[in-house]
Amino acid sequence: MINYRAFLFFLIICSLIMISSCNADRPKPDITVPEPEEEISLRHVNYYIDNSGGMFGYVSEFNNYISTVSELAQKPDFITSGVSKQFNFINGFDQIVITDIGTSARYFTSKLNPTDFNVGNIQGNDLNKMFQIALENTSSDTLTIFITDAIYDIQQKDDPLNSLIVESRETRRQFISRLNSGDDFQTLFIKVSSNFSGRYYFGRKFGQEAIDMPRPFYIFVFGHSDIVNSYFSDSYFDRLDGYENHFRYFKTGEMEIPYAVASHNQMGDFRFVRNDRKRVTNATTDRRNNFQIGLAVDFSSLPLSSDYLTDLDNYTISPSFEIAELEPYNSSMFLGISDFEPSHVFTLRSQRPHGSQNMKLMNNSPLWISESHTDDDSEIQNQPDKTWGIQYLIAGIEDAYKHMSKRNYIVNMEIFIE
Amino acid sequence: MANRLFLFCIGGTGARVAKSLAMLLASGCRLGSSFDTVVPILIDPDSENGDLNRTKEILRLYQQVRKRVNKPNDFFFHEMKSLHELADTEAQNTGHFTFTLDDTLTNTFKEFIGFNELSEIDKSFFRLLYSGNNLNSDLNIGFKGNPNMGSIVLDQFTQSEDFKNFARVFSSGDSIFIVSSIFGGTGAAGFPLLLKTLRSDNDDIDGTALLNNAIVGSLVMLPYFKVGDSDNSEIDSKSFEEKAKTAIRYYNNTLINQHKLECIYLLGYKGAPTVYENHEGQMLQKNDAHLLEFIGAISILDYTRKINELDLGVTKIKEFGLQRETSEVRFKDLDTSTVQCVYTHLVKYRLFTSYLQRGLNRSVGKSRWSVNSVLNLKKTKLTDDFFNSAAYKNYIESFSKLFDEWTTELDRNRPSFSPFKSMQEIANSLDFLADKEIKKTTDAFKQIDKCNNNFIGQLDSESEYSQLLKLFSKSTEAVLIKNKLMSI
Amino acid sequence: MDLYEGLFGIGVARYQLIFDHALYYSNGYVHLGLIFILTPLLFTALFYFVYTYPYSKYWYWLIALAVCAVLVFAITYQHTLNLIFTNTHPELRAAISDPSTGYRNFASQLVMQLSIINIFLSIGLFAIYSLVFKQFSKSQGHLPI
Repeated sequence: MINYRAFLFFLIICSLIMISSCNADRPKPDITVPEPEEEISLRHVNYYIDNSGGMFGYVSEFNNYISTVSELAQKPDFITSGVSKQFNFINGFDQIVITDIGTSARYFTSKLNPTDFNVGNIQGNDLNKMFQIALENTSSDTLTIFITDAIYDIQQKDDPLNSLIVESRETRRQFISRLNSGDDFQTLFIKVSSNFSGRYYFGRKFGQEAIDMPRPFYIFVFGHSDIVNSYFSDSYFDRLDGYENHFRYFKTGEMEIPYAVASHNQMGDFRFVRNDRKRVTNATTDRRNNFQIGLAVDFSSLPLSSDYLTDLDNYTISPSFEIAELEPYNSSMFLGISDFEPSHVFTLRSQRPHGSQNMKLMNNSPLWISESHTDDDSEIQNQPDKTWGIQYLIAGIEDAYKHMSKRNYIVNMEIFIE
Repeated sequence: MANRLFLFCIGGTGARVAKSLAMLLASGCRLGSSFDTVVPILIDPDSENGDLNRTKEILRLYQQVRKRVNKPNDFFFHEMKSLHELADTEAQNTGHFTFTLDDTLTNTFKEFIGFNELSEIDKSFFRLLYSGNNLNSDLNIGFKGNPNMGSIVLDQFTQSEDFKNFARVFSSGDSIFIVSSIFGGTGAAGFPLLLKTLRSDNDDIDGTALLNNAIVGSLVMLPYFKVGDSDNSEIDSKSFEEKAKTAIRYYNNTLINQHKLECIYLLGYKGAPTVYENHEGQMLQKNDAHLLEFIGAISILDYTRKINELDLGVTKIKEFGLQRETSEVRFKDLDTSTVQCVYTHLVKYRLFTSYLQRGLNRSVGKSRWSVNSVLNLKKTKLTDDFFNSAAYKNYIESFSKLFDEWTTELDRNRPSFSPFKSMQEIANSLDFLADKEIKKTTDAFKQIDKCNNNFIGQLDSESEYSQLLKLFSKSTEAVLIKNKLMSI
Repeated sequence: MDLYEGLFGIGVARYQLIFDHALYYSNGYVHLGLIFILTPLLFTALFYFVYTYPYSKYWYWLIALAVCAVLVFAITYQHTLNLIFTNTHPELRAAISDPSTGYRNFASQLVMQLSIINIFLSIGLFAIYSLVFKQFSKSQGHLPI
């Protein structure tokens, strides 16, 4: 005889368990899609071409300079976007002279010759004042392109290095002032090489020298990061004849990128923590006391070149860890990360892995900048790729950005190993 | 407080009727609702009488079982007490259901009456009334069918301590029933004497007034068996009918017409096919249980159930008849009210005793109802230990065997009462009723065990005897209902 | 989930796709839990309340336990096999299809591990349910002890 009460009790328990488990599949973690910001669109581009005396050698014949400047003046997507343009020559020292070249790219391009260059005050170029003008004329819907040889024109040559420092600080001040306005502001800095046939005016000392050799010139693009990244993506630069390198400066602020630990090139053992892919538990080293763990990151939102991102010198990491490898992500790694699509995967190694570990992508100026610098341009014939004082100029910009970013790194990736 | 039935059982027949009554009460048959206790009083000078001793043993066992059961609701429902217990006197011997008769153990009749001290004239007078055998007869083997002897010896009732105790403990509402045979010696003499004593005014005895106004019933057994011829015995069953006629005439003129009692049951079997061995008394006088003794026991139940229909000073006479003439009586041959009175109880109890004999070994210590688990809250007391205990074997098991013996004797006798198949005939545990066909595959014992498992939890606070009897009362009933055997 | 991956330590980061997509996000762990919770519940309920044979011995209970364990093993094995090898997540499917990843071998081993874990869990629960149900059982309340 069945004990009906007990059997009924059993059926009720079963039903409750079944009902409580009846839910849809667990929601997979969302790929966080940030709310689209208000779309920024480009309306206008200002061009400032340094036409001081030291620049004449670039326009004496058809070369990369003219090709590149023409390309920039007639940039296809400027045309398709229907943006308006304003071309200017800019020079001068005590007083900056801006010569309006009009709005026609074709007309402007036709002015790239020594005769038409010879307007304004070609005796000097106060870069900082030029920066000021360029910076002031940049806004969220306006790009400014400033093309120059980026050689500080210091009047006092008895202590050139000190003068460079002074100039650098002024550059810093200009940029801080602009960045302080609060809006997003990126400085894209492009190094291009072109043949220079003309008079080279020394930076370190008085005097000049006639040269006919490749010389770098620099394109500064100022504007909202979204617009700069959009119109000047990394893939664009190959279209610039003589392009060598570039770097971007931007306010890092609260910049964050998605990242997660992964089982890649794993050594030792650990377990993931569900719903927190920045944490692992039960971590143990292998028999050789090695521990290796993968860190998948998505750098796609960072306006940095692949070279910068893959340069391990641009990273700092907790003392107990080292970066064993950095590779681009591919799907055959089977990392099991569904929150985001990684762009790169780090392999981190340690023998004492436990605890909170940090890896930072630092906000460093790239090596090529320091490699492009020279303190002494006396033997300029032997320095076709160097620019006097460029390091100090860039340092001024860099310092300004670091100051306004309140931190010296771009992103910080923190993981927890228990 | 419920009433008591004082049951006087006189002679061998009285003892045998008392035995049948004990069996009926053990199976759960009920007296009238106003009665809860039976007080059997056995009167027989033949203290070694086989039937008397068997009955005393059965009554003793009944008592032993009954006092271990708390508020029974079926088997062993009624209490059974001895007069000595009620009167709070010391019962020195085990035969404490008997009325003590003085001077009967070692005396002859001659010595009892003081024959030698009589004058010659008185001696001559006695010689007219009593034969030499009568005078020299040993009283400790009874009166050998001579009521004239019994009437002298049993007259000591009035003065006996036992009777005084009886009168003292008798209460208003209690009732009296007297069982005797009319054709023997002890019963024939004792019945009228006892009745006379009950109805006499005797200021020396406390409670006489209550006795005078008590409802009294009786069962008078007319000849229902014979004894074989024997040179060693004075008992001659050819005289039974004549003695019975004489006694009936006397009863009619005195007891009945004078309304000395309120109800008289007359039972007999004309032609009396049963022939017993002829033993004058003592332990050899041990007759098989008889249908009429069984019916006699039922008449006691009938008396108590219909006691409210009796009026003091008005005598009702009752007889019994079968539905059909047969020498193998079954339940269906009894009338409806009789069957209703006893059928279910006897069938259940028979299944119970059958189970104890043949089904117990399979389940003791194995089935849930007989095993105490370490972690269970409810406990059974019906474990291996209980069934192996001396108390179980001496009381329950013994009584069950006596019950089976009783049913066997009833079946063996003529006319027989044969509602049950013998234990040896039973192949199928449920196939114990003579009138029913049962499917061979039915395992009643297993069904009982299942029912026991279901019911044991309801009885965990009871003592072991209570658990046993109440449990099997429920389970046997459940099994019989399930197999549609609860009615004829 | 923590029962299997944590307590029994079967979670292996190297093959996280299986644990995430086949077991966690598709409620596989819930299914495994229901198997080891409900199967012994059903068996003990049947044993204590439906099975009324009055002469059962302790080893009848052991048989019920063994049958339950075998059934739990079989159900867990088959179900886990389905969860992993018929999962539609593309990355998991690709990983299993590619023998060089080791996913296939690991998955086969994992199925067996989970089945064995579930056996022990079901045995434990079988014992607990037995202790509770025996209090209310009329026929088998004396089993197993």
